[in-house]
Amino acid sequence: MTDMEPGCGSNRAADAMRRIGRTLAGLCAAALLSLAPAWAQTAVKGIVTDRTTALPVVGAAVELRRGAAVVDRTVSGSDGSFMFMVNAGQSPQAQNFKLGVSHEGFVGADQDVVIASARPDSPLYRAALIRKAVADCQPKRTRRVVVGYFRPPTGTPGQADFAARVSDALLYQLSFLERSRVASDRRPSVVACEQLDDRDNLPALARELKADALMSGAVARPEGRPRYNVTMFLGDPYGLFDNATRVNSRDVDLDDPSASRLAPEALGAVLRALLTGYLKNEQYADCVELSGLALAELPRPAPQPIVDIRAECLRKQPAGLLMAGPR
Amino acid sequence: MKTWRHIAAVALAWVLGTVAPLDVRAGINVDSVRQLQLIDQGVQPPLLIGDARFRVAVFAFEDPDKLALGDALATLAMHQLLVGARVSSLGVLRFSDPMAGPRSDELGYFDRIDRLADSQKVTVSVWGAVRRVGPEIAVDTYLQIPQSTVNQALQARIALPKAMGGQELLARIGSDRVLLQRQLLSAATAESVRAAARKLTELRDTPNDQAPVARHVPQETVFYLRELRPPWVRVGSPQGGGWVRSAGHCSGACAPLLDGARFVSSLLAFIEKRQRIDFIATLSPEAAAFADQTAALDILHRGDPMDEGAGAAAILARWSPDGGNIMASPPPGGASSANLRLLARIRGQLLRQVAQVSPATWDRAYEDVRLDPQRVRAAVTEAAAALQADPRNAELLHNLVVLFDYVREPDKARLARELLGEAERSGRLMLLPAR
Repeated sequence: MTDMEPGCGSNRAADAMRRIGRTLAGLCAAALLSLAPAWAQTAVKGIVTDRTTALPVVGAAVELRRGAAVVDRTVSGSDGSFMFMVNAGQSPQAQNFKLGVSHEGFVGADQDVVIASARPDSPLYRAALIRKAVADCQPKRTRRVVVGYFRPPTGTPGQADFAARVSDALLYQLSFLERSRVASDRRPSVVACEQLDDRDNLPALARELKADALMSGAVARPEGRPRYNVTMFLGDPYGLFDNATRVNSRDVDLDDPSASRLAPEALGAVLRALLTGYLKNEQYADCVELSGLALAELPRPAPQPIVDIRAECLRKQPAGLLMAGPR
Repeated sequence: MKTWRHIAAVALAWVLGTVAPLDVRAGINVDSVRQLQLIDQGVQPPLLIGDARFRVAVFAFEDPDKLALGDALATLAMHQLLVGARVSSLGVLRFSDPMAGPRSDELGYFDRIDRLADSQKVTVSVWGAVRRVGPEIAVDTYLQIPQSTVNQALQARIALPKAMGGQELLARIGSDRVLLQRQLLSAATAESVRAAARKLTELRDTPNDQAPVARHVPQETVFYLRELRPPWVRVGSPQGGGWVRSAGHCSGACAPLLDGARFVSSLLAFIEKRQRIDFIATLSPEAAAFADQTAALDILHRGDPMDEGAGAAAILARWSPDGGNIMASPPPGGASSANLRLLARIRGQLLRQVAQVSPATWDRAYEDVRLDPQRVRAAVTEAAAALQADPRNAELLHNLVVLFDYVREPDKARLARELLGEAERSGRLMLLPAR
């Protein structure tokens, strides 16, 4: 480096001035160095969230790829955000990248990033990750109840899978619905998803799974007794069980699901959620038939919420128009 | 010597009228699991007792609480069907627990009995469920009626006059699944039921409770009721025969459990001979509605012009929908009573008009009849009220399409047609086929 930086002025020889000159030269060089990447690099910003709760996912691995090559890697911060500086030049021609996000317990997600004229096609890339437990839980029918994780009694050896047992028990108790004229694919299904273990977010999970009810809870075996006590927390997408309603069933024989009986309150709550699903989805004929059977099955006095749902389905079904005066 | 004495005793009893000649009545105990395996392999199992005019399948009741009553209740029902038969030729197929054996698929109890009954092309099926309810035991008995039996005897059709469009009005008796009885048993009664069923499998050399058990009713081999000498009946089979009680084996609190089978015997007699179904007080309101519908159907079939459908309509009046009841629960038998009543009322109106002309010209006059739309509308509106609680009743929807068209309410006719299409798409029961 010469003392005299071209383009940065010159002086006749005073040291002070030389020092100033050197300082200015240094600043000039620094300015040039800092300016060069500014016109070549593009900021790619994003945020990673849990699709169920919309809360940030901390520590998700994020990588930016161009073809097979990884351009850069980072992890999401405490607020779920991340940022890459990408040297993509200023060409107006679109350059294609892939943003990959992964985190344990979630299904990995990829999305496209297109940069043109040093600008990304989105100011903020949002990656809403699906929980693996949710993705693995795939009920077949439209009206459905999902049974999530049930904590086993203390000291239960091996894999107890109480979700499957509770689900079988519930399926048996709902078998009276098979007497209806509703076609089998429109009748409710009950699915066990053992991996769903998040009691705090049951309504959100139910919404995401498009389930009419989602339950999770704990199973206890009182000392010296052959049967179980089942505590279940219920969530639903309709706001029926806002704070995860808790229902207890005592003396349930979960070792033989066909013989097990959940408490009428538990069955009533599940039926209420299912019938609400039929009502909200305008499946009025199904609702009328199944609510009739439910009221015949449940102990007296008939649960008022189910009576009310039935009344609403009766009122709303189009068949009601056939009774009106001439149209 | 003993045999000769026996023959002489039977001959004497015959002369005295205490031995009844029996029509053909046969039974067989069938292994459900083996039959299901055949069906799964795509093999059509041979029809069991295929020569019988009427064939009834009786399934071991679903018994999730393992109360050892599922098979016992089926045995009682089978026995009662055989000894109480009122038809000329009857075969009873008694299926073991369809849920036994390895579960290779996800078929439930209902699906399995459907498969077995379909494969055997039975006239009707009897099945049920037994469950613990607190200290008691609840026994539900169901009757299942396949479409072929409905087509044969449990439907009504009225052809409207040509002047009214000439279309057919349809009615089906009941539904395909009828709850016959809901009975509560004590633990002591349950034990007597088990004991009674056990005794029915034991064949004795002589008609005497103290006689030693010679053999048991065979499995998977047809056996016949050879001779009825109340309260005993002699059973014969290729493995040998013996005597078993025909009555007195299930008394006291056990006795009402035989009423479901009695109802079925009565139904078969209705199908064969149009004998009236006797309603039994221990049976369900659904069974009562069903019995009333068969009585009304009989009146309609007899076609007494003097009755003008009033008798049938009157019988069914008590099953008319009531707004309050519909809110709480559907009327027994759904809308089928109201639909049959609609047919009776329309038929009555038609007959009243035809009766005004000379009997010699009734046929021609009938085709020219046009009913007063106001009166038809009143009948149709009442039937439509029943539809509210049974919105997939395909026959009623069909009739509403026809009659709303007639009374010139095209919007309602269109809506009824749409609902019928939806009912057939999303329901289990299809509209009765056109003739």
